Amino acid sequence: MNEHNSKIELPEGGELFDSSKVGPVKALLGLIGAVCLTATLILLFTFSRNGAGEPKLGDWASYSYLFAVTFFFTLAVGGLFWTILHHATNSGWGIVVRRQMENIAGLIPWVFVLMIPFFFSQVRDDLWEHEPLHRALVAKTEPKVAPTFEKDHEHWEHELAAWIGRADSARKLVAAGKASAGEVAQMTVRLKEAEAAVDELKAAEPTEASVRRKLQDKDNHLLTHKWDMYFHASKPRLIAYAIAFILMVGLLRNWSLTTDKVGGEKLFLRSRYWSCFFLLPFGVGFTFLVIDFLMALNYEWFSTMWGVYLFAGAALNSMALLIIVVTLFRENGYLRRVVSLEHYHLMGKLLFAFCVFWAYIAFSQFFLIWYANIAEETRFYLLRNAEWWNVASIVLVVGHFFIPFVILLWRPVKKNPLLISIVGVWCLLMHALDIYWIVIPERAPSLTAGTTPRLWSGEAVILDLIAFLGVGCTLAYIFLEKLKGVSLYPCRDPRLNESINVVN
Amino acid sequence: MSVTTEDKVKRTWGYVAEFDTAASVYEAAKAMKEGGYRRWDVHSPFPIHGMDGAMGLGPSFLSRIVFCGGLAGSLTALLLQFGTQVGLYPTIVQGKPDNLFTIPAFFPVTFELTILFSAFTILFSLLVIIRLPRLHHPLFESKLFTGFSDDKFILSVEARDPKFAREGTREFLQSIGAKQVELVEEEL
Repeated sequence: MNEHNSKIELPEGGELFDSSKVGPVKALLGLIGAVCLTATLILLFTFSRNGAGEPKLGDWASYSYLFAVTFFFTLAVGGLFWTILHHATNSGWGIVVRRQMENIAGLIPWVFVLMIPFFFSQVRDDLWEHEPLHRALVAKTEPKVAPTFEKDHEHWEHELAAWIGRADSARKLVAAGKASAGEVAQMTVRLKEAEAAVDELKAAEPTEASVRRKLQDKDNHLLTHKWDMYFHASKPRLIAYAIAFILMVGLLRNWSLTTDKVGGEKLFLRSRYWSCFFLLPFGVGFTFLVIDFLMALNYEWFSTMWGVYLFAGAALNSMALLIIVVTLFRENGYLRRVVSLEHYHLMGKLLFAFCVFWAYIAFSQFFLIWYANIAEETRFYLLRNAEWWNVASIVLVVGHFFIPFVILLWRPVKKNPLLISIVGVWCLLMHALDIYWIVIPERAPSLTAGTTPRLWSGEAVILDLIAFLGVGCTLAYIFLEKLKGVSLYPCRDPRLNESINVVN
Repeated sequence: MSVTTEDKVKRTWGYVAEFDTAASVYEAAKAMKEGGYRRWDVHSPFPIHGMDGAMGLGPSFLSRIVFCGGLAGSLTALLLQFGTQVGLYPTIVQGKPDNLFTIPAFFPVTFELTILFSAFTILFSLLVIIRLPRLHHPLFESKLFTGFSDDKFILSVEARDPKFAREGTREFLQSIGAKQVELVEEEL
């Protein structure tokens, strides 16, 4: 009613972020980021074992780097999800925090830049073992292909010639007309047989490819069958994800920033129209990227819920990050006139909802595998419950679900910026544990497979920390850098007033 | 002996006041709150956004009862499953554990029972709180009141309200913009 339509005086051009105030923080973030990132990259590329043998520091660091990049990728991509969802559902409440969603999503191009090391075999071979395995298999098979092909082809020619000969002689006998009716009938049957055999043989002419497949079949390995689709497309696939995601973020953010300058409804409506289409490449791209990155850590294991499991974590923790970012701005005197406790309540509700959603998906994934008890599926959970990983699994169940669930049930918590931000920090910590729990248990068993097998490598934790700080601080620095000259909320959005006065 | 209307003993139930627009009833509700009235309500043909805020209604305390109901559901489910499958007659399936770590198997039932108990608690405690079902309500006597299901906005004040006064409340309602005010009486 009246309160809903009240207009408050807002500065023209929105609120601008004063970068000079955060100078020291930014410098520190930049420094830590640069040092840690450089250290990790040097380790990755110069201390790699390049093939078999004892794992070196760079090999351990490959997993650390995957952990760090994936963690921040999920956060950034969650920002994109909230932006798209906000437009696609025509939501009005969150216009005032939408710019922060876009800012978080704006890190996506930089996360993809940080994914460049994943194109190189020094990193790939440690993480995705099926690739070196397959190369070894090919190397073993290839010398045998040419001689086997020659032999097979010779045999095939011989067979073919024999059948053609038989067919010809039968045809001649019939054509000569000297045979009795019984003999003609017999010959006709024989002719048909021979012609069928010739056709069959012609269709089955051995090629180099078929011989290669036959030889590899002896190793009876799934990878040899579906390999072409899997391996040869894995790098182009990563490039395709990058193009799709960067395009979506770029367009939405650009339309939003242009609206700040020119106003009007045109770009707002265009964002809404296109966001409905963006949902599809978002879902497909995200699902296949996490399959390529994380599920492929153990190529023998699969889960049909993998994409949605990671997505639930991404959406949840991106919302947690959004709440923290908005609180930090408010604590420093920004956004105070536009973001109210109602917005906190709404964001808190979404945090709560996705906390439950994550638990639902995580439990469904676990439950079906646990119940069915099929060896090829249980491997994932067996490894993650071996020795001390069991504690991590239980902490995840309690800390990622039960604790935030019970706390977020209370409305006062959702309406208190400080408390909800503390819950947000807790969620982010749990998400870090979640990604760590997905990536790191694979590390020691994979790397030490050819030598003395180990389950855990304690000293590599320092590498995880360095990679995490390197990627995290670099992205935080970029986040602050990109705030320059841009309003902290969409200041000329047609529905800004509706959002400011939202009541739920 | 027949009983006529005049013979019945009547008691004042309260007033109903009619408003023409949602905005005027919204303003009136704010004025009622500021006037210190406590036992009153607004009836409208459609939900009016922000009305609960204008009326000064706090969050419902139903949620606390429902929390207890849900908790009772979880505990019932866990007790029944652990009691029978682990305690009284240990059931071992596929070599899965027979202790606290059997809990994943018990989750679906726990989940369902929590929801079932919560839903029942909501329904039945709501019925108790709003005292339903009942056959009649004094407001149904009022001609004016029927307008709320058509195009009028109705504000009702009960005589039980400490601030209620036969003349004072009528004047107050008129002063906050009521088009018509009607006294509602209930038969004893």
